[in-house]
Amino acid sequence: MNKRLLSATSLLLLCVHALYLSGYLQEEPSIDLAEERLEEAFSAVKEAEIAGADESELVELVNRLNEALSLIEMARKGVEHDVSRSIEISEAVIKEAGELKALALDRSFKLRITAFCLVPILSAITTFSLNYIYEWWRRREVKRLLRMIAKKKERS
Amino acid sequence: MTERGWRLVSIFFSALIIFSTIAYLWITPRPREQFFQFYVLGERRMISDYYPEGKGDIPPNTQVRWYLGVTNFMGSVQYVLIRVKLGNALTNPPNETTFAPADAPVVCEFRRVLLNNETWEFPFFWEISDRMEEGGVVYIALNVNNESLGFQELGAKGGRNFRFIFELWTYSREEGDFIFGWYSGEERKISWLQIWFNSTIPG
Repeated sequence: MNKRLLSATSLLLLCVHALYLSGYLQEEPSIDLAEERLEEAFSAVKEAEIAGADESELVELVNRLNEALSLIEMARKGVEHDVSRSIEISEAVIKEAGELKALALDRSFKLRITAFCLVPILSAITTFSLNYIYEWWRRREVKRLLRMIAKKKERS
Repeated sequence: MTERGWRLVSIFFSALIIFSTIAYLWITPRPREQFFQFYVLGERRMISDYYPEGKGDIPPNTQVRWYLGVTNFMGSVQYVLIRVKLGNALTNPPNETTFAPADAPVVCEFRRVLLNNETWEFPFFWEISDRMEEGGVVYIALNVNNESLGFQELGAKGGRNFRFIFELWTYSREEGDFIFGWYSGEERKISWLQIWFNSTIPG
């Protein structure tokens, strides 16, 4: 009898522990945690913006942040609202903002490389073009001068 | 080096400087003034009709309709917080020199993430749901946007010279928290508004 009781108790404790580990018995996330995630998400969006992300790319992220914000506000007022949904939104925004930042940095890097390569190429093209125009103009002036001298000699 | 060589070199370096300047101006965003526009509008969304019947004497259960607005001209995404406080004649308003906020209790807060050039305008409909007097000092209970906020800790003598103080706070990534006002480059700026009213007995 004692052995049966002991094994039943051990089994029960094991189940409770397993349920806890599965998150079923864990506490609901707090409003403070949701606010913290929102602030992290906002920082991630800011970083993407600083990296050069376009405003059109940021609009959707900002709308979702405001959605998460309104969920937190409702929870703060005591209205039954899923704070964990707000955390999910913030975490998704963090991930997408990170991807946007990487794309923006890549785009910015390519733009700088393009500018870096274009500047000497354009300078060289300009140099040879201007030099060609100058030499053409000079030959024309020399020819004009020679024609003037020849005419003057014919008259004299 | 021949004359032709010197000519080529001088043109090349001149063109290099010009194109480098153009490329720099193209890549670098122009600096611009960073600020917020913060305002309160009356019942008809204009700078008038702030009080019912044109007087600042508000009896209980009379709804006063204002609209608060913020426009983001900071050149970037901003996380803003509007803190609404209740003050009286003795309250120290925000200090423009030390950037200290008003030393008054917070009634409610509103938060929003704003894109650059975005305007956020929302209703601030309030009423005095109850009033009590203790030793000549009147304390009021408030309803804001249909949410009951209960009696406020700050009262006013004879119910006169209450004021709502609206402060604009922004989230600072450096400080990891909201700050009163914002930074425009290295310069700190603040923005706040106040509207006075009296709590009166009906009739």
